[in-house]
Amino acid sequence: MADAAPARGGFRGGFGSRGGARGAKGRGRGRGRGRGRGGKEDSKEWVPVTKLGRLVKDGKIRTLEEIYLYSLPIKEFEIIDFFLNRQLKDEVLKIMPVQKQTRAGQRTRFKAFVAIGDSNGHIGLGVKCSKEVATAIRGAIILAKLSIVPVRRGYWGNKIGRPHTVPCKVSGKCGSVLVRLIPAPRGTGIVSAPVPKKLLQMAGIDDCYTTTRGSTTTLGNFAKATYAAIAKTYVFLTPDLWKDLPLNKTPYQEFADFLDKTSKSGQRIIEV
Amino acid sequence: MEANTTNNISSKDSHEESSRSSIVGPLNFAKDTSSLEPPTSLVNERTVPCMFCSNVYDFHSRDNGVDQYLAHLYLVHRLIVGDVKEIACLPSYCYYWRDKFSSEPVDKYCSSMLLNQLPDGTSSSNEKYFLLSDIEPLDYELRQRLKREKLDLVLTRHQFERTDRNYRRDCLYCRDFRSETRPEFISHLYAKHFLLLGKSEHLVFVDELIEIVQDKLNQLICLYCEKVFKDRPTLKEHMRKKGHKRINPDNHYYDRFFLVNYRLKQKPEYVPIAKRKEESSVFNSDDDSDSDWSDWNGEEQTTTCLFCTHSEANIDTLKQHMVDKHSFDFTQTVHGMSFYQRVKVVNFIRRQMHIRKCITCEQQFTDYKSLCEHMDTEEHYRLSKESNGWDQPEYFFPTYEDDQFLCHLEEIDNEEPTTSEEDGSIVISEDLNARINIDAESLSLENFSLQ
Repeated sequence: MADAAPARGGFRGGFGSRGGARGAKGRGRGRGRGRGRGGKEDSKEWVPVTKLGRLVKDGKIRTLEEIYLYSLPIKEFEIIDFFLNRQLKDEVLKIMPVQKQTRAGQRTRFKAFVAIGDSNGHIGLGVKCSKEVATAIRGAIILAKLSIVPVRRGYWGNKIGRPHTVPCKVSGKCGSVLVRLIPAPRGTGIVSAPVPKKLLQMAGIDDCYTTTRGSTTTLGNFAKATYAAIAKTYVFLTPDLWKDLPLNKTPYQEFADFLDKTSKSGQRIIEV
Repeated sequence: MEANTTNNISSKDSHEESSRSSIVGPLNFAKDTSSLEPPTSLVNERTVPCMFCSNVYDFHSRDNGVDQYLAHLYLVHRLIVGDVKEIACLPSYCYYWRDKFSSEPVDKYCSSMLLNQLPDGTSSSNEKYFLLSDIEPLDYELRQRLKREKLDLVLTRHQFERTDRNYRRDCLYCRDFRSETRPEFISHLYAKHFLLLGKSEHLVFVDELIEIVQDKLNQLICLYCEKVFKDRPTLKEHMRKKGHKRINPDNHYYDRFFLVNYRLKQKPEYVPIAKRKEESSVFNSDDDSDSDWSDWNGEEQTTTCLFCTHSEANIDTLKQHMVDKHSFDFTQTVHGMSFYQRVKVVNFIRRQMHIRKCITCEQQFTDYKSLCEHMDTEEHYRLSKESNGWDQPEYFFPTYEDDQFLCHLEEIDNEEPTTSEEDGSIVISEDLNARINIDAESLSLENFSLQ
C-alpha cells in the first residue's frame, strides 16, 4: 500500500478509497469541524413527491414560464433547479445572530437572509434561522428558490435590443416601507439605495428609478417591498396582453342544449 | 463636493458647447473611505496599559504578554480576574476597567478575599486580595456586550471571506493552483491533497489559519500530534499514514478559527437523541422568529443638499435646510411637474453646481465660493422659467452615482400604477413566451371544479 502513493508522484492518496470509511468514522466528532464529506448528500437522485414534480422530471413541462402561466404552486426546490440550475446566483444579504432567553441562559441562533436570481427575469428571497451558519444559509437558499417569481421587463421608447427596464410604474409594500419602481431610459442604471439595487440587478433590470417611503432602515422590509414590487410586473394587464389565447369552451357553452331543454319554456337563459 | 475627474471649461458661450466640453462620466459624493476589508479584531492597539499603574503590555508579542500582565496584576496589585479565558476581548475589558478604577476605588466593584499568604508564596496572615468577576452586574454586562460585538465582527469577517475575490495564495502542496476565493482554496486543499481543515462555511480568519498551517509544515511539525520530523518527505508520510492531515479537535489553540465557538455560551440542554438530527436539519423551522424579516436593521442612507455639502438622513429635514440656508423651496419649484421632469431638474442643478454655473442666469464662475456669493446676492437660487435649460434628455441620467435625492421625488400613495404615457415617453413591455401546456393545464384544473 505504501508504494502505491509514491508511484503516483507526490502527496496524494491516503483518504481516497482506502481511508474513506475510516476517515468518516474518525471525523464524525460533533464539533462541526468538517464532517466527512463523502459527497453522498449532493449526488442523490431526485424523487419527486408532487404531481408537478413528476411532470417536470418526465420532461412534460418545457419551461418554468408554463408553470407560472397556470399558477401552479411549486413545493419542491428541485423543480427550480431543473430549469435554472446553472444560471442561478445566490447572494447572502446578511447573517445576524438572534437570541432567545431560555432557562439555561441565552440561546444564539444565526439568521441568514438570501436573495437568488439569474439576472435574466427571475428573482427570489429567503430567510432561515438555525443553530449553525451553514444550515441557515442552505435553508435560506432553498426557501429563496421556492419563492422565485418571473420578472417582466420592458423597453423605453423604442424596441431595440433586449428589454432593460420595468414595463410600468409598480409599487410594493411590506411593513411600513413602500417601494415604487419607475421605468427609465437605457443607460440610466439603477437609482436606489444599495439593498434594492442588488435585488434589481439580480432580477435582470438594468435601468430603473425608485421612490421609497417609510422606515427604510428596516432593511428586511425594504428588501421584501422591492421583491413585491418586482413581482407585480407580471400582475398588471397592459394593453399588449389583450390578445386572445385559445380557450376551451366553458361548461355553459358545452352543455347549452342540455340547459335549454331543462329550462322552463318561455324563459331565456342569460349566459354569464 | 468632490469629483474624481477633472473638468476643462473652455467657453461660457452656449449651453451646448459647455456641456460638450465638461465631464461625461458619473461623479461620486465624497465618502469616508473605510477600508474594504473588515477588521480581524475589536481593538487595533497592540499595547495595553495596566489598570492601575503605568506599565504597558504587548498582547501580541511572542513571549505571551497576556500571562505577564495577569501575573503582574496578581503580584503587584493583588487582583485576580475571574474566568479570564472566557472574555471575548481582553484589551477592551482592560480599557474599560482602567477608566473605572481611575476614578473609583477597587473595593466598589471587586469582591475581596482574605488569604494567608503573600503573592510570592511566603506565608502571612489575612492578606487582602481582590476578585473581579461577573458577579458584579457591570462586569457581567461588559462581558456580554464584548461577546456580542465579537460575534458581529466575526460574522462580518466570515461574510467577507465567503465572497471576496482578492485572495491570492499559492497552494501549500502543489505549485499550479491559484485561487480567488478562500472557500475555493480550502476545498482545493481537501479535494486534491486531502488536508482537512474544516468546511469553509464553518471557518473564519482563514488567512491566519493558512499562515499557521504553513508555518507548521515549514518547521516540519505535524499538524495533529505536534511531533517534529527530520525532513519534509518523512513528515508527509507520517501525516498520510496516521491520518494526521487534519486539525486535532482537542487542541484549543485552533478554537478561534471555528465559527461555532463564538456563540454566546449557555449550559447545554439535554436534547433527546431522536430530536438531535432534526434540530440541525435544513428543514427545521421555529415558527416565529424564523420568517420574520423585520429584525434586520441597517443604517440610514444620507442625502446631500443640492447646493452645499450638508447631508441629512431625512429628506424633509434636508428640504427645510435648503429653504433656510439657500432660500430654495424644492417642493414649490417642482410643483405640478411629472416625475421625469423632476428627475431632470435635480440632475440639472447638480450638474450646474458641479461645473460652477449659476442655475438661473448661466453665468460661469471659476470656483465654488464666488458662485455661492453670486447666487446669494442676485437671489438666483431658483430655476429659470423657460424649461429648455433643464428639460433635456441628457438629464435623465443621474449626475452623481447613488444620488439618494432621486429616490424621494414623488409622494406615493397606494394608488394603482399607470403606464407612463404622461409626457410622451412610451414604455413597451416584453413579449410573453409561455405556451399552452396540456399537462400543466389539467393539473391546474384539478384544483378548480364546478359544482
